[in-house]
Amino acid sequence: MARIGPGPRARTAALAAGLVLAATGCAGSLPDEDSGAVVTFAVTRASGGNMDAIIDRYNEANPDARVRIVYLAADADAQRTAMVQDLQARAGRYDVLYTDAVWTAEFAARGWLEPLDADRFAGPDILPAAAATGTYQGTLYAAPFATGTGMLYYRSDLLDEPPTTWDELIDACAVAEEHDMDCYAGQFSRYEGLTVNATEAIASAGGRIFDEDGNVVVDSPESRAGLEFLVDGLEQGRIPQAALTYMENEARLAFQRGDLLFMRNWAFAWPAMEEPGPESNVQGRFDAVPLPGLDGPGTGTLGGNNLAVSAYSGHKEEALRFVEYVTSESVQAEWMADTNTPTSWQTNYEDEELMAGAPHLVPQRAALDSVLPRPQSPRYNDVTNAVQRHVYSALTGEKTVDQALADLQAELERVVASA
Amino acid sequence: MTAPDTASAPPPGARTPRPRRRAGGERATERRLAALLLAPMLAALGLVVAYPVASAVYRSFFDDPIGGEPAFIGLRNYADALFGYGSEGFWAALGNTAVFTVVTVVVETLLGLVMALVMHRAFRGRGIVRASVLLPWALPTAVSAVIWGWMLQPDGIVNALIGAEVVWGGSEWPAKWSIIFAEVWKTAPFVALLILAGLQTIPPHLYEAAAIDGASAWRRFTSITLPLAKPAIVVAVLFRTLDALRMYDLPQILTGGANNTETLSMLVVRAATSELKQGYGGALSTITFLFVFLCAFLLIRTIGANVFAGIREEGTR
Repeated sequence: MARIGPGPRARTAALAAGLVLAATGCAGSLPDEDSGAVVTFAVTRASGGNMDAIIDRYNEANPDARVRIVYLAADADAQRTAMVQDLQARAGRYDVLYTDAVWTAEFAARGWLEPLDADRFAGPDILPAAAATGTYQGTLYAAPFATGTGMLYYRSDLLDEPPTTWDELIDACAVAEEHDMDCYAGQFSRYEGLTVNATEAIASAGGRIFDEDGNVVVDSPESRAGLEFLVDGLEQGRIPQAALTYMENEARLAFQRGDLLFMRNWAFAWPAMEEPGPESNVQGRFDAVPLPGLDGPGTGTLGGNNLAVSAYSGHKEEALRFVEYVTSESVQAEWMADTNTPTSWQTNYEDEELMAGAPHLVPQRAALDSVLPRPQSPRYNDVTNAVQRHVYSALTGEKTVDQALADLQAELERVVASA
Repeated sequence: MTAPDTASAPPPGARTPRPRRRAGGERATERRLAALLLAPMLAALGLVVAYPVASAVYRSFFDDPIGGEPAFIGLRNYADALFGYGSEGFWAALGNTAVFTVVTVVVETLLGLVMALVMHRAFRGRGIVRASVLLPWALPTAVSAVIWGWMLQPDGIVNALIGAEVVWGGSEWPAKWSIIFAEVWKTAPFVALLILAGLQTIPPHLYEAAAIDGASAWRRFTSITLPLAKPAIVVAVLFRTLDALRMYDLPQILTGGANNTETLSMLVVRAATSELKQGYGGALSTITFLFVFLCAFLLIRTIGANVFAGIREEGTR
């Protein structure tokens, strides 16, 4: 046997070292473990605001319960995966979780979240719809923080009166044709945004996906009318085919290029489109109103993020104190001013100084009066996948609206039965 | 399988007799030392390969309740995937995986062969051509998926160049073709590299002799280049097939599985990590594993056997 390289002992040692490294790599340690922090706050990299500043201030005032921030992926799915791994392993490394509005039901049903005192975290000054996104089966599990709903952006330089119903919107499409633009677009790519847009269309026609008791009621004439607004729009050219690939930013870019008369989008789009520069052609030439519906004002769905405390946290008292601070009226006001996005304290929308700095929050506040959370289910990922698949096949004309709704009804009934 | 065949007929001179026979005791010590040396590696492999596979298979016999202990349900997850509520998605994903694999491997192999032949020629700037051809392969798949995603946007450069308004991500076949383009663009260089390595082992005097004998260029290609480069081509096809069968990142980023472009791997990830169904996801991954294994087996059986047989003939000649 020719011996090249290190001898047997050295090789054994190297192997052993590799093994040990591999084994401890799984357990992992968080960055700056030694900062003396008591509470670990897991938050998306893409929260949009300056979370560090908030934490620094909190830590200065609370040296006994210092908070360390851990940034997770910007992508919501990757962020959820990281949290789920911690929760499934009951590791409790993350004490406070920055959760998406649609995760509450699943996390709560799996027993991963600490129930919260509704009086303390979702009092009467909190938007009821925002509180609903943190509630599962009557119990609050996540403290409302950032919120928001879809609005109808329109070109105020081309239209005097924004539409309040779909019929008015369809009539106004003549203006788009005159100017050689497309009329309307939302987010119709097959992803979470499609669930949002489909739920809004269905709700704006009076339909629901689940009723109050959690029964599947999506196969209804109202849902059909809602979905037909989108399907007919694509068929008749009011909605460009390209919108089948749009997510939030693609829709915004089309609108700010001047290619769209109407766009459904979140509040974030406003400051981006107002930004001076050659990127946008529509500065000062657009406005936003609550979504239109079938016979009157429509119904938006809620996006947003809440703060939850892990059931496996070893420092629940400190964690709750921190959640209370971040979701407090003043911190949320600061967050609104910093990010230009809506938060859950109603009183902040009455602060004239704050609202003067963010004019789009006025229509956003109006839109928040007529909202409905996305379907809440402990099997939310199954639900949203089913909605996306069947709605998308109706939008592309692969299935009729009737067939898509019947299939969706059947699939959702199976999902509910399995939950 | 062919492995024993090749092992029984090694090229001459591979195993020279030991210079001297060792004493029995020394050999036993050596064997013990070998076992000792291998033990950590076997343990590591067991930990990271055998255990996860076994536990996924074991877990696939249980259901996926929320907030309860999983209950044993036998083969129900498999039945659900193959014939039950999941069958529509499963067979669609299997079909997509098969289509992507067959089309991309065929096109890549042909393109790769052409690229290798070009790179094999001696000409000015050959180094630059070789480097630039390899660039797509050097890019991470996720990055190239994002780049292709941008280029294939309705107002992107691809539509501008072909002067059409194709919504690439908006219907089934444009979406499938965009995945195939991007995959071929990225991996044809890899095939080219492997085949180029094969071409470089062909002795130039064979071509000279053939030319003197009056063989046409085509005849030289089919009688010398192809047979002698065949082992390299087979290896490339094997690698690419196994790679394509587990295609995940490109379609995930480019289409997200919309327009019937979901592959088996995407289905597994969706079930196991997004829907958190480890039982059902375990069943799906076991089926996928068996499917890929079967494909690899058949491939080695058919094209692989010929090549290895060819090597043996030449070795004994």
